Amino acid sequence: MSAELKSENALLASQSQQSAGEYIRAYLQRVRQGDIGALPIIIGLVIIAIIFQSANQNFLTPRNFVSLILQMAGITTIAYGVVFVLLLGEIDLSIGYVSAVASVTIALLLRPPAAIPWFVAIPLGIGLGVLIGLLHGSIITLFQLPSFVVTLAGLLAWNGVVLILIGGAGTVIIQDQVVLGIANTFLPQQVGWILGIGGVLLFAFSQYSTFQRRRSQGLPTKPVAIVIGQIVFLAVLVVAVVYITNLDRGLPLIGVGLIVMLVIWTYVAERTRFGRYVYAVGGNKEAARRAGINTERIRIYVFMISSGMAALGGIILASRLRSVDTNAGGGSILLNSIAAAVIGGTSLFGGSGKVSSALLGALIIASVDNGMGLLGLSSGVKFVVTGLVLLAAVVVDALARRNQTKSGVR
Amino acid sequence: MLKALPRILIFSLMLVFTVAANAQSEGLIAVLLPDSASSARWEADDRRFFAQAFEAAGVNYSIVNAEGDATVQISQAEQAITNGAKVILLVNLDSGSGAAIIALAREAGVAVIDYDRLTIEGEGADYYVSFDNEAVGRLQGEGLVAAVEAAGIPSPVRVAVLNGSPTDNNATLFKNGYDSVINPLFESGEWVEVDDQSVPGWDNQQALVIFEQMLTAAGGEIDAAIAANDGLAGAVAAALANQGLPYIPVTGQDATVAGIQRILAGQQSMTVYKAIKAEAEAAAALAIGLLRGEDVSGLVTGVVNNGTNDIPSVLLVPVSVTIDNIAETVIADGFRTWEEICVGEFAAFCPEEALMTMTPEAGS
Repeated sequence: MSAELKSENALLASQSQQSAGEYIRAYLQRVRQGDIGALPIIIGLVIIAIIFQSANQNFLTPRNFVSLILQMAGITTIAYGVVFVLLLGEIDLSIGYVSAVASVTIALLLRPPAAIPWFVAIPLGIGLGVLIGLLHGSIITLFQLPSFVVTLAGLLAWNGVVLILIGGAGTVIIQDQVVLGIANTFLPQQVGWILGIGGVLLFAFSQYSTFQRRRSQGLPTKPVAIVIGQIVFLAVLVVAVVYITNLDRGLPLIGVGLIVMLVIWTYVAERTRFGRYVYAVGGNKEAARRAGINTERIRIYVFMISSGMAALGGIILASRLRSVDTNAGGGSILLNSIAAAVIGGTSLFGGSGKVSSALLGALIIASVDNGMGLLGLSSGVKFVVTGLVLLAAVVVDALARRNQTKSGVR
Repeated sequence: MLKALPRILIFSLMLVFTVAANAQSEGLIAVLLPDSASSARWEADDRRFFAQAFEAAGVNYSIVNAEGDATVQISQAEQAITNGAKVILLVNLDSGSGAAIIALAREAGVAVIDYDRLTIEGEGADYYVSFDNEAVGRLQGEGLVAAVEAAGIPSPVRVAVLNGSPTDNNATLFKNGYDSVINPLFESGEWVEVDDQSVPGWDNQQALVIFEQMLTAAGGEIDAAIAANDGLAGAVAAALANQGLPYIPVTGQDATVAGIQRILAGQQSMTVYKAIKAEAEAAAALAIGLLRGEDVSGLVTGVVNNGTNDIPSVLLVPVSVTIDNIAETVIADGFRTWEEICVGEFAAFCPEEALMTMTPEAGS
């Protein structure tokens, strides 16, 4: 750790301390060069909000905002795992039906009269997902096969497993109150406020300690004005979310869950050795291998993450529907989960992206679905619009990439 | 050479089977099933009921499944004709490939019965056996009217409609059925249509979002809903429960375990029961009659136009299942058992006679 810090130290020694003005100018410069980050998402969300609110005044209501959080929870969770796979430049096409294998297994384990307790069933379901990922990853690395082909086989096989598991019953209703509570619990008003304020304080504290640590080691720090600005921005956002959700049923527990998962996976991706290895292998596999990284082990771990998160997402989807059926894991789940990560800005070609892209991309997809459902548009129109949104996101990504190439960032 | 070995082996095996099949069959009934993914019924129910009926009659038969591939199904039809099939019972995968199979069979002098799905391209099959799907829809419409009256909901009743998949011709027929009952009510102003949307691929997760958004757009004020099957009805019930709203009258179809459970618990008004056994037995009787060259006009109950010709048809009548006739319909037929229905919290809603018939630990 200290060796790494020293090398970082040497690297940054040439850079001088920035002022707030310079920091903002540097940011604008990066945007012009194509490092656009979350900007298109935010602009996209504003456009979506304006269009749907002007078409139906129920779009920007507390009730619909709470619904939106619940509707995006499943695919966001699955998309968190997809981000890691995409960072390696791989793909996982089996996530839809892996999510269903987990949720169906849990629903069957919880089915009376021979029901086993939820605290056994849920870990079993997620563990099954992780094992499936281990299987995919091992096959991919052992036989050096493209992940596209192996997970395509998985897509078929796990779909078959879902059909076999459910059998003639067709649908299994979930009666366990804890599992139903995953997607259907709303926090009391005070708890929402406490969690919200606590979260902002935690963020402020982590920013402060980073600031202190870097300064004590003589490293350049973010300008104080920018740090304070970011904390204020987050505080305003959190207050708005808690206030609005409290006007309806309250802050959904699963909404807090999405943020907790975001923090954990962002930490894993950006602050751990494993995370740095993932970016390294995704950026240039051969270089990473020569640098002594066990690239095959990293690939297996990543498929375990994606299948495990798919299993968790499947449980959330089942909790919302209060049942599982032969359609579970099908429909638009696979496409929406991968699209969420890509729309959010994670590259399909590996090495570049953030965990938060899953959340932002899922927010876009769920908003579009939500708004079109409100307008009562026909299925045909919905498919066309969703396709165009996906296309627009990829085009923006490609344009940004071209600017980056032009300005020599990549 | 080694590479080609498996292929040569398979080819010779096929030859042996073809010769063997030819040797034993004076005339054969071939059943061409579509897949095992879209519904569990083809492999779990239809195959079994056909085998029982043909064995009881002592006729030669073969049952194959195309696993969703129309090209495979055409090859299977060709093989059946080669093997000496006199009657083909066809569940088509789409009307185009269905028409191709019918043309093949007609050229070879083989009779084709469209089973469950009507081939609407080409000249059409010789016979058609199915449930009357518009009658299914009418039962749903009438069921909702009865449930709304029983609940005493004052006029104007605000009604949402969740249709089946927009690519499924049967979903269109269901809609024609229930529209014929509820559209006059919308026109008279007694009922008000809140929204009317189709659910792509009968996907219940999408149905959940669609119904949630209908509720949001209507400010939570929906009094009753048409749902084209039990899965969609489940999505309606889940959306209401998730939002803390009371359950409303809602229709269903397929008499699934979950559907019956919701009917018992007062979360769903009715479901439509289509006895697969009756449908398979009707088709088997028709096929056996045709194979033996008997007069089958007594079996035919009507005609259905496939767009080109009137097809003599055996149309079975679907049955509406409400809380009042569960025991006499799905349970009496052995289609469902109280053991699979009366589990967990649903046991509390089961009639006492049901719990008496069950093993003690099943009801706990």
